[in-house]
Amino acid sequence: MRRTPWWIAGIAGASLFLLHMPVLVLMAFSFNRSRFSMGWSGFTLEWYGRLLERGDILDALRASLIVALASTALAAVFGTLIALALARHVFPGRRIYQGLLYLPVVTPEIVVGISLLVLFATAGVRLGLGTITIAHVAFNISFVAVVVLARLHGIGLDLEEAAMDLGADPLTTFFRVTLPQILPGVVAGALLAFTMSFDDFVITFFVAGVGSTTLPLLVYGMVRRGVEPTINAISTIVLIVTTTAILIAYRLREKEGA
Amino acid sequence: MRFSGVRKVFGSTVAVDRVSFDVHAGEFFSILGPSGCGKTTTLRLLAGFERPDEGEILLGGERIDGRPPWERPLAMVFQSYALFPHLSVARNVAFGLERRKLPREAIADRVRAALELVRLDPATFADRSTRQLSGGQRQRVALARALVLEPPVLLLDEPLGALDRKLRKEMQGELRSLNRELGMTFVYVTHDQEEALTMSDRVAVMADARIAQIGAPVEVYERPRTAFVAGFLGEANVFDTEGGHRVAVRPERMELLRPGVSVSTARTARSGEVLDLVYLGDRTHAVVRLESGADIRVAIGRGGAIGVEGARWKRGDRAIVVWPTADAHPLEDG
Amino acid sequence: MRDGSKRSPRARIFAWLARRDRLRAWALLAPGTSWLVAFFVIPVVIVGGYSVMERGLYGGVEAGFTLEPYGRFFDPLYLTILARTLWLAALTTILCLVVGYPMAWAIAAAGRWKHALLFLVVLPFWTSFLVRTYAIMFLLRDTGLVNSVLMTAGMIDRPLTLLYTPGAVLAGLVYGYLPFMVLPVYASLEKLDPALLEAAESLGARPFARFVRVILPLSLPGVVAGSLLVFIPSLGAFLTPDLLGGAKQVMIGNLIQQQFGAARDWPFGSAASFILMALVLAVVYMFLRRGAALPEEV
Repeated sequence: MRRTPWWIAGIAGASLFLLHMPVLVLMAFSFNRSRFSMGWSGFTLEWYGRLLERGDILDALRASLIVALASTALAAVFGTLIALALARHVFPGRRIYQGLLYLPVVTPEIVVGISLLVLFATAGVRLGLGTITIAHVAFNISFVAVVVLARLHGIGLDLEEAAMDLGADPLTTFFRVTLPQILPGVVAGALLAFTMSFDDFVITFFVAGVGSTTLPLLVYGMVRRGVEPTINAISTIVLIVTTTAILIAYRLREKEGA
Repeated sequence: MRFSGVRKVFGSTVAVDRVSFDVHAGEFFSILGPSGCGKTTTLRLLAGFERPDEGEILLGGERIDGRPPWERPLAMVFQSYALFPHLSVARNVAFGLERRKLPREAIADRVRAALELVRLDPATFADRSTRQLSGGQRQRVALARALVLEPPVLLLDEPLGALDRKLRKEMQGELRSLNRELGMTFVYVTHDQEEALTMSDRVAVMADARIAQIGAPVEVYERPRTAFVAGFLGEANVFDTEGGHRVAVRPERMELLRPGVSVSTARTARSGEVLDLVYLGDRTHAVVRLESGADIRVAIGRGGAIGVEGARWKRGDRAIVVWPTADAHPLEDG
Repeated sequence: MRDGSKRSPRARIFAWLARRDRLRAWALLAPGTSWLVAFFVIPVVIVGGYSVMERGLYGGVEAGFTLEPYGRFFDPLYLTILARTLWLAALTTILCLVVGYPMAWAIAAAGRWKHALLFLVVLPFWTSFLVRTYAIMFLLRDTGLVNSVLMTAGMIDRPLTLLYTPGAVLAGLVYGYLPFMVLPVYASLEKLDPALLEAAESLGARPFARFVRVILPLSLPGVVAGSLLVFIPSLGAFLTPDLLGGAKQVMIGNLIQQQFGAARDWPFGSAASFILMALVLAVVYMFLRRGAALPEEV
C-alpha cells in the first residue's frame, strides 16, 4: 500500500476537508457578532456569555455530567467483568454470547429508546435522571466489554499463570497483575463511554420524561425553535470537551499498542 | 515427585495418555519430544494449570493434583518468560516472596542473592524496567524469580528457545551448574535433543502422549528402545532384519569402503551408491542409496576441512557400507 | 498455605472455585448480563407483546390480541415510508462507500501520518451526532453558508431550498455515518501485505487488474462490515430526517416516534419497531453469512 495514485489522495483530502468543514464553520460562527446573516460582523464572546446566564443550560449540563459519570462507572465495571469472563473462561454458549454482545450496539437507537420507554411505562417507573442512567448503562456495557476484550486478547494468559505459579490466588492475581495491564484499556473504554453518554440524544429523548433534561435534549429543543448563535456556542463547548476526552482515550490506547 | 497413571484429554484429543514417571530429588530431569507430543501439557499438569482426568501427582509423598497452582510449592520458568511489564526487575523477582509476607529487608536480601545467582548485577538491574532488557537478561530474571522461592522442584518450559545458539549454550551450562550447586530438582521440557542430552541426568522421551523411554542420556542414545527414539536423538539408520526384527545403527558407527574390499565376519556390509554429501562442519554425512532402496546416512571424515575421506568420495560413486554387527541395536517395536 | 494444613476461608473458597471454571465464568457475567437482560432483552420482548395488542384510550395498550397494527403496514402510505427508508439507507451506504473507500485507502497508504489521519476520521465518529446534524442544518438553510457563497458568487439570485429535501437528509446521513465506513475498510486495507501486490506485479498484472483481483477481494470483509455499520443505523435514522427533512421526509424512525408521541398509538408504534428490528436482523444475518470482519477496535 505504498504508492497512492494522485486522484485517490485528492478525493481523500477533499473528503477529509468536507468531513470537518461543517463543524469548523459552526464553531467559527459561534464567535460571529451577527445573529442572522452569514456575513462576518466581528468577533464576539457574547453568545458564550449568554450561556452562563441561562440557568436551564447549566442545569442541563449538570444533569448530563451526573448521568454520564454514573452510567460510565457502572458500565465500566460490568463491561470489564464480562470481558474477563469471555477472555479467560470457557463455558457453553461463549461464542453465541460474544455475538449477542454486539446486539445492543447494532440495534437502532430508536428501538432501544422505545423499548425502554415501554418497559418503564409498564412497570410504572417514573421517568427521570434515574431512567436515563439505566438506559445509558445498558448501551455502554457492550461497548466497554468489546474494548476491554480486545485488550485482554492482546495480553495472553502467561502473566496470570506466572502470578498464580508464584503463589498469588485469583483475587491477588487480578489486582496485582491483570488490572494494571488492562487499566489503560478500561480507562479508554470508560472515556469513550462517557462521551457516548454525554452526547446521547435519541435514547435519552424517550426515557427522560418531562422533568429532566440533559444537554443534548436542551440543544434539540433550541434547534427546533430556530437557529441562533447560542446553539453554536454550546455546540462548540461540547465538541471541545468531548474531543479532549477522545484525544486522551486515543493516546492511552496508542501507548499500549506500542 | 511422582506422576502416576495420568491422563488428560482435551475435547477429543488425548494429550497425555496414562503417563507415569518418577523424578528423583536433585536430579535434572528432561522431557524430550516433538511438538504436540504432550510434554508441555505434562509440565502444566505438574504446575497445576491443568487438572488430570485420571491418575495422581505426588510431591514428597503428598498428593498435589487437587491443588490450584498457587498452593503448589513448585515454581515455573515460562517459555515467554512472562515477566510483569509494570514491575521493575526487583519487584518481579520479589513477587512470590511478597505473597509470603516476609519482612522487607529479608525480601531485598533474597532478591539480591537470586539476581547474583543468575549473574545479573543487582546494582545495575534491580530497578530497571523489564522492557529495557535483552532476551537473555529477561530469561535470567525469569529464572531468578522462580529460584528465589527455593522451590522443591523447578519447572522449565523450553526456556532457551528464543535465544541465539551461543547464548543458549551458555545458559545450558549455567542451568546445569545451578542444578548441581543448589541441589534443586529441575524438570526441563524441550524439543531439542542436544539440549536434553547435554544437561540431563535422565531423559524421558515422549511421543503421541506417551513416554517412549526413560533413562540416562547415554542409555537413551546408545540403546534406544524404539525406532522413534532412535531417530529423534541424533540420526539413526533403521533396518529390518531377516528375523523380522528391526535394528538401528548410528551413522558414526558406519564406514564407507570402496567395492571389492573384503569385510570381516564381525561386520555387516551392504552395497549402494552415494547420492549426496552433506557437509556439517565437524563431520560430513554421505547419503547412500542401498540396493534395497533404503537411503541411509554414513558419517565420514572427522574434523578439519572436508575431511580426508570425504574428499575422496563423489556423488555417484559405488560404495559398500559396513558396520560392526554388534553395533546394530535391536529395537523393541519390531 | 505452603504446608497445606491450614487454609484461610478465603483460600478455601478460591481452591473450591478453582475447580469450577464455569461457575467463575457465570459469576463474572452475572451483573452485566442481568442488566442487559432486564433493560434490553425484556423491553424488546414487551414491545413485541404490545405490537399485537389493542390500542389504549389514552395511550398505552389494552388487553386483546390483534394483528391489526401489522396489517396497517400494507397501506400505501406506510409502504412508501418503508420504501423511502430502505432507499435512503441504501443510497447512503453506496455514497459512503464511494467516498469512504478512497479515504481509507489514502490513510492506509499514508505512512507516518497514518495515525493522525485516522484520528481525524475517528473524531467525528465519537462526537455528538446532534451537533454534527445541526452543523449541516446551519450550512444548508436559506441563509446558510452554501447559499451565501453561491449568491455572492453570482451563481444564483435567490437562495436554493436545500433544507427539508431528500438531498438534505441524504447529506446528513452520509456526513454522519461516513466514519463508520472508513474505519473497517481502513482496517482491512491496512492488513494487506504489500508483498502480494508486488507478486501480482511481477506476474504481469497492471494497476487496474491489481486492484480488481487483489486489493478489492481482500478488502471485501472491511467493505461488508462498513456497509453493515452504515446501512443499519441509516435504517433506524430518526434525528437526521427530523431536523433535515422536516415533516416531509418521513422515515420509519420518525413514524415510530410519532406513534409514541402525538399519535398515541402504542401498538402500531411497537409493530413498526418490530418491523425495523426484523429488517436490521435480516440485514445483519445476510451480511454475516458473507463473513464480515468486524473491527476489533473502533
